[in-house]
Amino acid sequence: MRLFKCLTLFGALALAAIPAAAQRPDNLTRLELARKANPQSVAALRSLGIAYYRAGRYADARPVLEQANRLAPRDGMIALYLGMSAEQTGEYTIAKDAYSGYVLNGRTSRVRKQLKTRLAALQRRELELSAKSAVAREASLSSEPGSPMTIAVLPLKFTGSDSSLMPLERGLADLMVTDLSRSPQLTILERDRVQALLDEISLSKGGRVDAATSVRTGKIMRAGRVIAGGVSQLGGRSIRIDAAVVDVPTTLAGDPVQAEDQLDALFNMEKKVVLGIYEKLGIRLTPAEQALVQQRPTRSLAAFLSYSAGLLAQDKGNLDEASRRFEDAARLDPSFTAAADKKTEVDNAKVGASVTVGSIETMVQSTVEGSTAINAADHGVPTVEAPPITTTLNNTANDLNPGIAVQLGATTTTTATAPSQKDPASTASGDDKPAAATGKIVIVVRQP
Amino acid sequence: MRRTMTLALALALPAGAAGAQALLDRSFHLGPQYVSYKLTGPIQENVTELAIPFAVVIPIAERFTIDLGSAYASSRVKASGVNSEITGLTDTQIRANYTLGNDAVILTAGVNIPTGQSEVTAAQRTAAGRIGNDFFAFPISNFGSGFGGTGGIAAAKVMGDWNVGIGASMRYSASYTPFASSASQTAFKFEPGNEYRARLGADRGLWNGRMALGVSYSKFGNDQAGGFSYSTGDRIIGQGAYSHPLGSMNLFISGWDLVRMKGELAAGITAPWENIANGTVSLSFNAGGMQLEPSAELRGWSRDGGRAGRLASFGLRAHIDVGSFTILPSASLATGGYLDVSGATANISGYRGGMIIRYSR
Repeated sequence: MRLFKCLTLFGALALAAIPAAAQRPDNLTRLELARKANPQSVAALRSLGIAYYRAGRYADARPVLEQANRLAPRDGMIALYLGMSAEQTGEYTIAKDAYSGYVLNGRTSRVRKQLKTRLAALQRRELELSAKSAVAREASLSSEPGSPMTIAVLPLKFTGSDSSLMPLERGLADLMVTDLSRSPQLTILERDRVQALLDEISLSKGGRVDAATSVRTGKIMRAGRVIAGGVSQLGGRSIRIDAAVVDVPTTLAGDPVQAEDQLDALFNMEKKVVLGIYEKLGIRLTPAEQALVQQRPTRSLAAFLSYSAGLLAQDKGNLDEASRRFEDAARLDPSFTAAADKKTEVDNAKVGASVTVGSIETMVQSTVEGSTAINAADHGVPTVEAPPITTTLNNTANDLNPGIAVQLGATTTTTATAPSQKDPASTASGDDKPAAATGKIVIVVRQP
Repeated sequence: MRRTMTLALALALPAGAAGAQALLDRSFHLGPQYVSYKLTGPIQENVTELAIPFAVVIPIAERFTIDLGSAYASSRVKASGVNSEITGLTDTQIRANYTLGNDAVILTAGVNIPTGQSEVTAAQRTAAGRIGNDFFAFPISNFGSGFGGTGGIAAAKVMGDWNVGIGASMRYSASYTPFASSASQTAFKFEPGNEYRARLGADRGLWNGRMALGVSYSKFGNDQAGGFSYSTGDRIIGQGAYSHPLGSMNLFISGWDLVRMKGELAAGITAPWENIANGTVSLSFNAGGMQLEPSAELRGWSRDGGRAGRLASFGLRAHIDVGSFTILPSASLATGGYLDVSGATANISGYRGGMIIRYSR
């Protein structure tokens, strides 16, 4: 008997000593078989995707986790491992979407926090890569004309002696993008995406950006029209803003819209130009849309200049400078929320630059959800995540305050559900119970 | 006054439907059902209910949802010497849920609008009362119970692998006249005692399935009737469920147990403690573009430790998605036995059929 106990103990210890990695080939086979038996099983796909990732088979992991993600979009671990697999294979758009999924649905707050910073850092890399890819695929992208309602706003070209006004190139373009997005009839391309493409094109042309660049940018981005123009410093504190709508297929530019005034009236000039562009585009704004266009992001010109300088620094990848500029803008006008948001974004990107998929996985391994999922994958066991916390919360609330909507939502008609509330009158009278004497039931109510 | 078991819903959903688990999406629900139980033997009784519950769920804002539900119902009881029937609209319930924080807390409130018939005549009384029986679990358990209001708070937190939900609520019911007076009777007001309810629930993924557990305790204040104060007993409901994929099928096992503690009826008669236990097994699978789910259910009722009833049901439900509509036709057959307090027995046979139609966008 003692020998048997010793052998059992030895066997258990020997099994425990087998490292997870050594078990993987077997476990991958087991999980592949589980997926084959049920190709739609979230549990099998989830564990298999994680197992592939941990075996370094990132290209195999990504499609498996993508399928699992489609079937269970709220599963945080699937989203996380999909993001890491995509990042490993250089597919940053997929990685960003997947990480966003974990930030939305993931169960561990410190992982969510870390991913927020990683997302911000990935933003720039994804823009650069997609710009490079777009230029590489220029011929095919340019062959199909874009919709005339899809518009790219290019940075305005600054001319003047006061270099402190040069960042208005970016700031005014940013403002015009916001204002033109007020009409649901238009699709306005993101400013930073347009800027990334321009940077890529100018890089390939030795830093030169000429008139043809705007049309080329529009073609690559499948924009039907491009807004191009300039901001010119005149004498004293006067400036002029010009903007023209360029038709991408014909390369013809319409008559420019102009506004000229003192620098202090910058926002009035910008609004005048934007309303002129709407007119050129043949779009009539509703009163509500007009009111939105007339909104100013800030009343402080100094704050806006600082914000514009922040955009310029961010475009150039100088995140420290960008953070300082956005901070200045937010300090000069605390109600300038766009500046505060940008500062957060840039600060996150700074932190996220030092976050790697390795550091993410190390953190995940230390969480309960991560260790459970990883352990299951390492041992070839399909697993699913617990239901979202919202389900638990709704179930609790619905039990405390039941109603017909909940009952009909439960969709259980073949099986009876637990009586959630008593019927007070029939319970008190005993009328709810069938009885042998089915004649007249008399309730005697005693005198108090 | 309606039967609910949201735990079952949470687990019945396949893992892939997690995205649809925000329970109250904007939707309209209609669920006509017909239930019939026939008791034969020393006790002869045939109880039927046609219920057409309907509900509208309106999300007012991202965190604020209102739903409104009511029903049209008809209940009939045929027995030797008794032919009782009641038909009409039931009470209307309006509920509001407001979510606080990062899906951490829900404030819930509801009112029971007395649109149904709470005051029944002597001829309607048996039909109105029988549907309140917890063992038979009719889809609509009463026609009206006067004005009422519920307020509660629920919270949920992730604790390791578990999601844990906890909450409490209080239900107030105004007085109403349950029985119409006749020449020989004096009408009396009936005021149900307040209900204080506490709930603890937990769920988690387990192997490649999901498990949920829950318990609710309802403490009732004394009912008041004709100046007399009494209590029919507090209630505890325990629930458990587990769903597990089996290849392309899904196995679902659930159970609930209702304990009603010792109490007193309005007539001053002692109501001994009762226990109703229910277990269900179902298996869902795809067949011809729809999901089919056969099920078997066993229920036992004991009174003061002795047997009071048993029921076995076998059912089949289909799940059909057509655009924005979800249609769930179902049917089941039941058989069992019943023993009343005097020792008289009856055999039970019954069936129920229904169709839930849900439109959501």
